[in-house]
Amino acid sequence: MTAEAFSLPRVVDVRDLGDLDDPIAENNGQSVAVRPLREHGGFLVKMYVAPLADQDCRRLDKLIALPAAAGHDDRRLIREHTAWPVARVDSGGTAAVGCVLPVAPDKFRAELRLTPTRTDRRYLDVDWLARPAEVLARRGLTVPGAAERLRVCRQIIEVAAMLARYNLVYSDWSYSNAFFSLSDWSAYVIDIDGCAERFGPNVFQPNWDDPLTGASAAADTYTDRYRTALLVGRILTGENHPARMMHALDRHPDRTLATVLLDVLRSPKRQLRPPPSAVLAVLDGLPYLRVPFERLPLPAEPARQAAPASTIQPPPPPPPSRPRPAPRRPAVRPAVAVFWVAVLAFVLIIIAFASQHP
Amino acid sequence: MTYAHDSFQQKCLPTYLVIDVSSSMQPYQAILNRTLEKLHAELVGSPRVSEFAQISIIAFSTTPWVVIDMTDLESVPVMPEVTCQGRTSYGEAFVLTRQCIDRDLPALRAQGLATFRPAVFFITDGAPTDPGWEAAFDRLVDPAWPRHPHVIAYGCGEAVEPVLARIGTRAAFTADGGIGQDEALASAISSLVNSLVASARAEELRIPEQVPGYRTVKQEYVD
Repeated sequence: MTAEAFSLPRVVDVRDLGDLDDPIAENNGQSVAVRPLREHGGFLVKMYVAPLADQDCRRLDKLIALPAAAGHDDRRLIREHTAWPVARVDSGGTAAVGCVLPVAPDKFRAELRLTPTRTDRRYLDVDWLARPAEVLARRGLTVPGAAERLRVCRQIIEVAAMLARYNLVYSDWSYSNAFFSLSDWSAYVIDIDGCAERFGPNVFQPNWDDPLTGASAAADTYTDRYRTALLVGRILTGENHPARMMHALDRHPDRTLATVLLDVLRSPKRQLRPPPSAVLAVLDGLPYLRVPFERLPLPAEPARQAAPASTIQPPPPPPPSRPRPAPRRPAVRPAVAVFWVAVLAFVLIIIAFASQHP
Repeated sequence: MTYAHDSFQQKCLPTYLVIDVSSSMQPYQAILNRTLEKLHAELVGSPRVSEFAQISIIAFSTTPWVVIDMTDLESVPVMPEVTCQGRTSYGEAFVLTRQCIDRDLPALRAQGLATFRPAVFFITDGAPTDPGWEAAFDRLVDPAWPRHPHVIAYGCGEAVEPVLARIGTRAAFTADGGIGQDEALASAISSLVNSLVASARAEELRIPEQVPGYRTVKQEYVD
C-alpha cells in the first residue's frame, strides 16, 4: 500500500478514519495501540502514548511528504519494503496523536509451529534468522541457505542506505522492526514514523547497544551504521550473540563482505564506520574501497550452552514429572529380541547337554 | 572511547518458575500442565524473549526438584508434565532455588551472557507445611548474598496472604476469588509471560502492576 492508495489527506482527524478494528498491538514502545482501519483496507493507525511535540510533529509531516519528492527507485523501495507513514492523525485541536501506516503485506507472515499440535500465523521478525537452522526447522520454517540470507540482508541494507541518503536516523534497528518473507526472502522495515533528521533518540533494546554511542547521547547515522551491521551480521551468520557473530563473520567465506561488516562493527571511531551504501555495494558484487585503519580486536568468543539436563539433585521421591508421550522406537527391536531368544535357547541346550554328560 | 563495557555480552534475565505441585494442586494438574505447555509455546514463538529470559522450572511438594534446568526454552523440544502429590514444603524449595542460582549464574556467564539479578516467580496454592521455612527463604533473599533474586509471589486457593507478602520481595499477588483456581493458575503464568516480554523490551525486570483475577498484596503485611 502506498500514500497514493490512501484516500484521505496527509493530515486527518481521528474521527474521519472511520471504524477501527481490534488492536493488533498495545503498549508497544511509543504507541498505546495499533489498530487496522476498517474503511481503508491495508492501513492501520498507530496511536501515540502522548501527542507529539511541535518539532516532532514537523518531523512527521516531512517524513509523510518525502516519498512524493523521491525518485522512482526510492518510491518503489518505500512502497514495497517499508511501513512509511502516509498521514498524521490529529484529534480535535490536538495535533499528532498518531499516524497512519500501511499494513505489512501478508507474504511476511507464515505459520509458526509453536507446539507439535499448535500453529499460529504470524509476521516473521528477522530475529528468526539469527537462530540456528534446527530452531527454524522445529518451528516449521523453511531453513534459508546462504543465498537466501544474503537476499534478506541486501534488502535491509538497501533501506538503510536510502534512509542515510535522506539523512534520516532510524535508531531502533533491531530484530522486531523488520520482517522477512519465506516466499521471496525480501524484507520489510516497520515503524518508519520514528525516523528523525540527523539526530534521534537513542532507542535502547537489549543486546543492541552501540559501544561507541553513550547512553545519554543522541543516535545519528553512525549509530545506525553500527546497528544495521549488527543486524545484518546476525542474519548472515545465524548467530545472535554479538561476539560469536563477529567470530563467525571473521570466518565467513565472503571475505569482502566480512571485511566491510567487521570494519563497521570494530572500528575504533564512529566516523570510520563504512556507510550502508558501501555494504550495499559489496552485496551487489562491487569492490570495497577500504580506508585503511586498525580495527579493534574481536571480543573473546564465548562457550556454547550445553543441552539442559532434565533434573538435578535432590531427586524427587516418586516420579514427579514424566515426558509427554511421544512416538519412539520400541525398547527392544525385533531383530535384537530374536537374537536374545536364540542365545537363551543355545544356553539351555548347553545346560541340558552338560547335565546329561557330566 | 567505549561507553558500554558489557556491549559484547548478550544480556539475559535468569528466571526461575517455582511451582507448588502438592496434593492440593491435584485437581488442577491437567490445567497446570497445559499452562506450562502454553508458556513454552509463547516463549518459543518469540525468539527475542526466549533468548533474553533464560528459564528454569522448579516444582516442589514434599521435596523439590528441577523440572527444566536453566536454558533458553527453545532448546526444550517438549515441556515435561508434572504430577501433583505430597506436602507443601517451602523451605527445601528455597534451598534448591539458591543452589540452582549458585550453579546457573556462573554457567551463564561462561557462555558470554551478562546476567541480571535473577527473578523467581513463586506460585503456590497453600500454606507452607514445613516449620522453619523462613530461615531458608531468608538465606535465598539475603542481601549479603550477591546473587539474591527478586521474588514475585502468586497465591491462590489456600495460600496465606501474609506469607505471600513476606515472600514477594518485588511483588505479591493473591487470587481475589473472582475466578476459579484453574483460571488463576493460567493468569499467573500469563503474568509471568507478560513480565518477560516487557522485561525483554526494557532490558530490566518489569512486573505487571495488575494481574487479572488477582489483587496486589499490600505492603502493610510485610514484616
